[in-house]
Amino acid sequence: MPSDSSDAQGMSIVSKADRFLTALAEHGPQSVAALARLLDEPVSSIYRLIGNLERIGWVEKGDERGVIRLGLRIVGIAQSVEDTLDIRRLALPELMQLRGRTGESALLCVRRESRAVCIERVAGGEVQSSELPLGGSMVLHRGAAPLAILAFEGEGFRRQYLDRVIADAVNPLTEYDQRRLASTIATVRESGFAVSDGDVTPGGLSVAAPIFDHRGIVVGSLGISGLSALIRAADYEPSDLVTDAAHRVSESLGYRTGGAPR
Amino acid sequence: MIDQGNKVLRRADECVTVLSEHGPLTAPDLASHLGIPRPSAYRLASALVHSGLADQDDAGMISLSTKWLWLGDRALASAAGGVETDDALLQLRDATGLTVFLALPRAASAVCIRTLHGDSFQILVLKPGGELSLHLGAVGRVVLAYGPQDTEAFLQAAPHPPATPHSLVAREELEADVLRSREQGYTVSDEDVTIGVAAIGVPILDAEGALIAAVSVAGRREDVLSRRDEIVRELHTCAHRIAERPASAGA
Repeated sequence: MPSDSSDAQGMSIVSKADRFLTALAEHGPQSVAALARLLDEPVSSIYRLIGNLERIGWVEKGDERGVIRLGLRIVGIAQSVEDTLDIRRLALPELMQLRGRTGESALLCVRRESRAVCIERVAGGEVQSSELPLGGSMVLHRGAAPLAILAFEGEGFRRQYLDRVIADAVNPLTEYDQRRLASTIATVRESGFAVSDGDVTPGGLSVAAPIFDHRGIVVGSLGISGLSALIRAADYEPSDLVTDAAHRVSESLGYRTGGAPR
Repeated sequence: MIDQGNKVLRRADECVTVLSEHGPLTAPDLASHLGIPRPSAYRLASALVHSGLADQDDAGMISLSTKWLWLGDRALASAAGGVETDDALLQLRDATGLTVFLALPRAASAVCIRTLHGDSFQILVLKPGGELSLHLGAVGRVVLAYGPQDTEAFLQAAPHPPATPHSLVAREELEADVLRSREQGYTVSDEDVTIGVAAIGVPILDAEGALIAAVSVAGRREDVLSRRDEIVRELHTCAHRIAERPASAGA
């Protein structure tokens, strides 16, 4: 069938278009000559491709003469992809797996204002901690899951939050508490995970890691929580399991550690 | 053969549009949405999946990949140059408690590139990537008054389609609006896009007076209009902060 074969030939144009978009994303706006070099294509075919991509809004002419950049239509497509991403749906399989591997409760938290709210929880078998039930919330500076969020918030937010906590009328932080919290936050930022050992519930241990979106902004945390004695004696390293799981959820939200995806 | 690439890319774009509107679909569903034969839909889908622009799960459902998020972020960065200044926009949002929009001038529209939601209401009419015609909304009409487009051609095409009974559609109305915006230095949108919602917008101008972007604050009509002076002041502060920031080279 003639339409089939021309179809097939035409399909390589899609991967060519993708390479073109990827080059513009990696290198920023470029001249036609630079694009021809980057993609190792003749200038004439680059011109044709630009014409076709411009017609569908995937690229546009830049402010500088002769420079091509990604089109704003891409922003709209990206927004619709972002709208469909649901952190709870994406994290649930990871929570189940954590629960399966450790036997402990696995939970997912997001920040609402100045508290961390547990929006998903897969209950563990033997001893269940009651510190963050489904729908329950906690201040951001106590417990592993809240701390994993607080530590990776922007500096401005962190300062505002801490100022408010320090000045709290009912339960202000002592200077000693403040110093300890600052060093905890520094440790969490450095290690990439938070541990709370008996400081919320005596005998309870929780470990949590942050989840990031495609902009690199922290959007939540996931972790496990259970009896300290049991987790300490287990044959797994809780921080490894938790950070790996959180990293996979981040990736499914479009987070990248560098360069083009794939 | 010359038009082959054009045809395929148009179809690829239609396919991306359908997936962005309907979410994940199977190839046969895609074929019926696009009105193309199934083998073509299979081939198109596999080309998109192969290039990393779409994903296919075990059940055969095809969805747009998160690669678009990365491309979208990069598109924003290069289209906006130094304009994407979240600090100034955040401050505006926190000072007003209302929803903040940043939009860039394009051929016959204002394209939203950033939305920060207000405390009480999420105004969903304009999302990043979405656009408003130049006769609608605060950012649309700020671009009409200050933008680089062919204003005369746009006015000649009036009347433009209304979004609500309060939309300005006739040539005389829009001409008066342009003069008023330039005179006041700000534009008030009062239920001309969404009933119950008002917005105030100002231009962000470079040293030569050319329009870089439009910034607006939107919310419940009563909340916006009763605080007009204060909101205009905050908007101008924000616009100045953004205009002072030099555009980053090559980005």
